[in-house]
Amino acid sequence: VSDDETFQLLCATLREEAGEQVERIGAVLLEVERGADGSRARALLDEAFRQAHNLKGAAGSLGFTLTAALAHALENALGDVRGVPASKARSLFDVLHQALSLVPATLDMQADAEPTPEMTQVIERLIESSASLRPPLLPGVPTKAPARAPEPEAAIAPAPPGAAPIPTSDAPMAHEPTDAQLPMHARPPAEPVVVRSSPVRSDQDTDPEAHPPGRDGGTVLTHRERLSPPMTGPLRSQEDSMRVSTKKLSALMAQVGELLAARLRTDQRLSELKAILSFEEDQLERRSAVRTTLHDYDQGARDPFLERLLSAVDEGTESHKELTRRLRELVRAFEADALQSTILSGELQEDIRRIQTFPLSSVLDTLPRAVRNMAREVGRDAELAVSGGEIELDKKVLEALKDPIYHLLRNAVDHGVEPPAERASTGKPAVSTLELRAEHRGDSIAITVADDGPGVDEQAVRRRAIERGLLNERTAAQASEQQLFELLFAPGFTTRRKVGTLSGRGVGLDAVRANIEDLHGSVSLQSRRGRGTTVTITLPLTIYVVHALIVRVSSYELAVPISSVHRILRVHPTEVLEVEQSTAVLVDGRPIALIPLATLLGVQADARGESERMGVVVIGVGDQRCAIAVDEIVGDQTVLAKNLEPPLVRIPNVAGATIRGDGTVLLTLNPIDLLRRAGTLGPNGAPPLAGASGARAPSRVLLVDDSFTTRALERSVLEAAGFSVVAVADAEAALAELDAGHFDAVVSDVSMPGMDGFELCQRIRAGQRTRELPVVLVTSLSSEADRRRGLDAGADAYVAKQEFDHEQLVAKLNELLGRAS
Amino acid sequence: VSEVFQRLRTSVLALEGAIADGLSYEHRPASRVLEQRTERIAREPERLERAPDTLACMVFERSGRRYAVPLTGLSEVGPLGPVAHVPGVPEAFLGVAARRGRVVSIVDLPRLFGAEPAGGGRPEWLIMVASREVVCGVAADELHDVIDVRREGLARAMPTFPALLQRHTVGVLDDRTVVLDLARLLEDRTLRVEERNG
Repeated sequence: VSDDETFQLLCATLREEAGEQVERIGAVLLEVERGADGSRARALLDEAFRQAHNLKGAAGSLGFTLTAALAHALENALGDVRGVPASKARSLFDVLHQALSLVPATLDMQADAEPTPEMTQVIERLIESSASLRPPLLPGVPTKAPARAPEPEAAIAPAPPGAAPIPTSDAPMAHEPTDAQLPMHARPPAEPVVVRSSPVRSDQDTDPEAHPPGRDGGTVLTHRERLSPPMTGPLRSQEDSMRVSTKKLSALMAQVGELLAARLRTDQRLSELKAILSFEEDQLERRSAVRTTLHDYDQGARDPFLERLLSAVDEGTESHKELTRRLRELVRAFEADALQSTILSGELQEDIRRIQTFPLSSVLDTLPRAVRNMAREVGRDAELAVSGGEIELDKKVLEALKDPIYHLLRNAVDHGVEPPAERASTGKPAVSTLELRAEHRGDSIAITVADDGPGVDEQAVRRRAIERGLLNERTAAQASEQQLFELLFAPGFTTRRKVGTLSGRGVGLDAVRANIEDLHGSVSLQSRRGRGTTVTITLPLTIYVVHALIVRVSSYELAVPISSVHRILRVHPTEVLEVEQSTAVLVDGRPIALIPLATLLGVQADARGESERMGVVVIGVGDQRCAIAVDEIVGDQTVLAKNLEPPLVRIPNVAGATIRGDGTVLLTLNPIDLLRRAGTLGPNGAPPLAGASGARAPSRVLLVDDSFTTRALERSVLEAAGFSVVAVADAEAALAELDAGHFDAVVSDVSMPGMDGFELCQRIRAGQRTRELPVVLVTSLSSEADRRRGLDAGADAYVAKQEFDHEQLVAKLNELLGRAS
Repeated sequence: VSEVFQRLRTSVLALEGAIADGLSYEHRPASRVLEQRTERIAREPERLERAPDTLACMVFERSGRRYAVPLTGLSEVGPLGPVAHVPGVPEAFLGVAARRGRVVSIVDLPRLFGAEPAGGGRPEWLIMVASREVVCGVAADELHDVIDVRREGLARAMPTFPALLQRHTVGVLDDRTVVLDLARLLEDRTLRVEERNG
């Protein structure tokens, strides 16, 4: 598929999505206008705001600058209309609808087209109408945002200081405070892009006299930069297609799953039928032997009764033969049908799976531009080479891959691209080439992100690990290269002394690993000093069908994915080695830690005789290996992987489950968890001695934030500082947590759907058990008035997100909890 | 027997004749039956006679404790099939079971509310809840009647109840049955198991 074709497909997708977004925003506006009540109206407008934001991001990333400009104006106006009764914003609603109706037209215009006077006018009216709704927050601050930038002559001018660029889909929404959340004086000008005055093209179907061009007339929007590849004209997908919701497809897939489960049951019935046939064949053989014996009896000695008996036996044997023959035919036919149904159901499953798969390129194709912009941001030059974009993956997997890949690229740009002078001095080309490669590796897919930069500075990792107490001097000196690289995946770990624009907070790699493990994949890192770093994501090719080894421990039968099984052994107790109070077995001449699966799972194993051999399964992910002892190796089976339903969302050591032919549930183990659990056990598999060092239990912090990214960032910062963190997404859940358990402090966002942080703070202060609980508000509302409101609500500290500094947050919490930092 | 066959033969012949004449033998009785049926269907259903603050609840028992749950929150009630125990989850989760192609967790309510494990046998029934957020089952030893519960006749949750039980108790009946909002209870965030190793 050529770049152009891919771009056209992306454009077609954007148009379809934009149509839905416009419809959704329009429906929301109507419902609000028709008198939706306060909280409902706010929730609706929040949703419309998000839709406009997403439209802006998607349109901007594909170069539809006019659509992005319109969406930005919509977004700003929707932000302003929140909190204002619909009756007072009638004129703004009119303009909002008008603006929505223009969106499809902007998507049909060429990238470098100038806006029609109608568009310009609508955008201006949106800005004016929404500005008139804003009450002045501070005396002397004008309520109306400047309608245009102060440099009218500049065709392509630099962004004014503090002006927000149009965020694209590359910039997650959660990172940025919305204009509506900012006090007026801190808001950027309302225009999404730099504005210049120039004659309006009069070849549109409009009256130039009605919209005179120039400074006082039409305002012409232009790009901050040209985006490539340029659009060549209106693009429409020519293929007949129909949009079906993924929910329906998932339901269909679930039905196919049921069909496969029924197929497994059929296999079981077939086995039972075969057993009956085998029994009948045995019986027939015996009967025939009896018949032969009777026939061999001396004919002269036969009396009439015996003759009749012989005749009855003959008749019975013949019937039995006939029965067995028909049973055999039935089994054969059943086998053929079962095979046919296996093939058909497999094909059906594959077809439905393929409907839900998309090429990786749909995620990867926007990244070269993102990398270029990221590199520019930090004064470097970098290109991204992408290969393997044709590999198809499930849509859910693709969605979940976006963030991790983006994180890896940000890391690669920040850590793996040296400044131009440094590259020149080491003889490297001025422009760094990052490589993003996807390829099949057996039954999995490997996605590698490689840079040609300086590589990981192992000494810096050692120093940082010692400073953070992760290693002592001796263990740091002895740590292998792989052990050091593993530290880079620890929460909050970074070798950077200063937080940079792109990375340095230490929130990237651990979040990447968590996301990938949720997809049953793994992440590893290789690096060579001076040559570069490669991070490899390995994902199972299919998340639906898993070939598994079935093992038993105690009363549990469990499935271990074959992809993680390296060896299956029968080990005699005399073959078990003792190494430094740990048990091990030799595999290919190397000792591998041996731990009973029962210990890893925290269950009781069967008693074993001293000379009895034990089943051992060597599992491994990446370079890690561990031998796990089981009570029995039952066999292997292809199973249909299913997730557990909430409230069991994520159970340690368990990846999912499958339903067997007899209706019982078989749990699938998570090898990554097992390896990690093995790493936390002390000598001989004992849990590490808690409190042996005299260390006190970590303080328990309840973290409340509706943004996943912010939660992940703050959680890793707090965990890295030694706090035990429970994170929830809203204030109601926070109150439930506080009800159910003990916490030492609460760190909360302010702007959240439903109950906000101020109210949460008040409720905490009103609670008998929680009135003394330290509360820190971390928020993008940074005005003095907001700060005062937070403190009035009972907060002990107020940290502004704009100046978010994790050390400040940690220091504040330590201060409130009386801990030594 | 021959008399019976004779009567049957006569009936069949009469029916054959009636059909040939374009008349149904059952024509006259049918109109009467239909009238009766119309009357029965047209009768105002009992549910509408229920007071607006009345909840139709199913009563069940587990480990000697009685609970009532509104029918509107239930998706299915049936025998409890095989349950697979899950290592590493709180004891209030008896395990997981297959239900209509999904793997759902089975909750033991008394254990969830802090009771010690009961010495009784295995629960026999499964009460399923399928809400927007969870698909989950509750184990029961015995199923009792469906009753109408008047909200105003309910005692409030006792202050000595555990916090989780207090939050989701609709009220308490005089026969010590606790009326629960089961769907909300199973959606409670504190029930979620979302842990990682390491």
